[in-house]
Amino acid sequence: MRIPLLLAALAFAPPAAAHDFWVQPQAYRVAPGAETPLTLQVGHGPMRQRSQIPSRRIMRFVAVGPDGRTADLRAGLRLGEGARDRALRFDRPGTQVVALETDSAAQSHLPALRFNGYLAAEGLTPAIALRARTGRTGAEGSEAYGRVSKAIVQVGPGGGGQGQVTRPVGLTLEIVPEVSPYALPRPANLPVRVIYRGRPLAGALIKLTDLAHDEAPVETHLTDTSGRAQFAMPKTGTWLLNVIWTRPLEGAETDFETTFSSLSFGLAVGGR
Amino acid sequence: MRGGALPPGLLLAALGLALAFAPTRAWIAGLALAVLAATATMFAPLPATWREAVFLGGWASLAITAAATYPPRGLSPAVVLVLAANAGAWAGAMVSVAGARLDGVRALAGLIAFPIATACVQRGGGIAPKVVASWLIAVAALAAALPFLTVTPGYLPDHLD
Repeated sequence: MRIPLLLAALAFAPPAAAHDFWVQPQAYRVAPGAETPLTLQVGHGPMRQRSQIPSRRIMRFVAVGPDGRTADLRAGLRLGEGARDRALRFDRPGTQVVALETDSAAQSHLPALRFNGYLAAEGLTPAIALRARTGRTGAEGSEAYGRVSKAIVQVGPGGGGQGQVTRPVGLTLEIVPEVSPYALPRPANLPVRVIYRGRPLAGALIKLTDLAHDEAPVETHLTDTSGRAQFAMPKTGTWLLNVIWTRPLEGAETDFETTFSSLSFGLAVGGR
Repeated sequence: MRGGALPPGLLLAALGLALAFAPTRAWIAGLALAVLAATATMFAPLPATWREAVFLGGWASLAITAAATYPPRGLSPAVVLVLAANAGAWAGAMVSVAGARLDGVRALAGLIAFPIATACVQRGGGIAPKVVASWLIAVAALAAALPFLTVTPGYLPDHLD
């Protein structure tokens, strides 16, 4: 009797993997004045789903346009209603950076085995080192966590000014491309910087995932001492870069405060 | 077990097993009705807040459909059609609330159970699909019960908020 129960438990136990969060416009390239639905997504592969995050947790949701102006997008959010969480519409051509940031009010409590697996899979070395140093590797792990996410949307033809793509918008943990994926001609590589609390972040594991086949990332790198990593520029499709970082908390309800950050973009065939 | 192609695929597999015990004349209509119902609900804009209710309905349908392999006198064509429409509708609904369109296509692979189970039944090996059906009932019961159990950390997906 125990063996079937064990097999059933194993069959239903999901792998020890964290779940990324991202802003997903239905189309990353839209005509000026055209509307495209947007959803907030979480998870990968069979665990991928619409985010159930409540509106009250969203602290910032903006679009930064080619002229550097910031538009607040929170007003149009209808989370969990119908097939979309919001519609995006931009009247002027150019590249828009849509950025979202939540509070860190979500909590995760995992048993030691699962928590250690998650820390290793996401390269959260400060937490691994602290737990080893304090003899808590065998203890349950708890985190408060929040999400930050950016999506790059091209309105009208590509090219043109891309400065807003390569400038940080000031998120807690931010992936900043050093070249725009929408630049023309399309660059062969995609170098990025990772910035955490205003400073370059070294040693962070950054992953590139094809959102059409998102069970596993296609390329991963650790950021160097200047917070940089370089990926091969994908040719076509919708793509997600993501990175996670954490810091220990003292005298708080949880052991760590973790931030999940992502950047999504879509590439058309032929570099347009 | 709360998204992707697996839950609707299991439901369609259960339908395939049940059809193997159905009258031959109900096979094509049953399959067609299931695919039509699945397509209709897959494209329906169901609110994300219905997810738990949809999955509960899906697991209940999985158990009922799998149990349809057990009546000793088989199934009437009318019952087959109701089961097929029901299974198709819930399978499509599960894709609509927690899956991508491609998952709907992948889930159709569950119907491969139909020719395999039919071959078993025709060779006097009907016990094999019934064993698989009983396993599917157990899976449905466990998956349906999980959201109502006290959460054991590590046995539910993490970091979904």
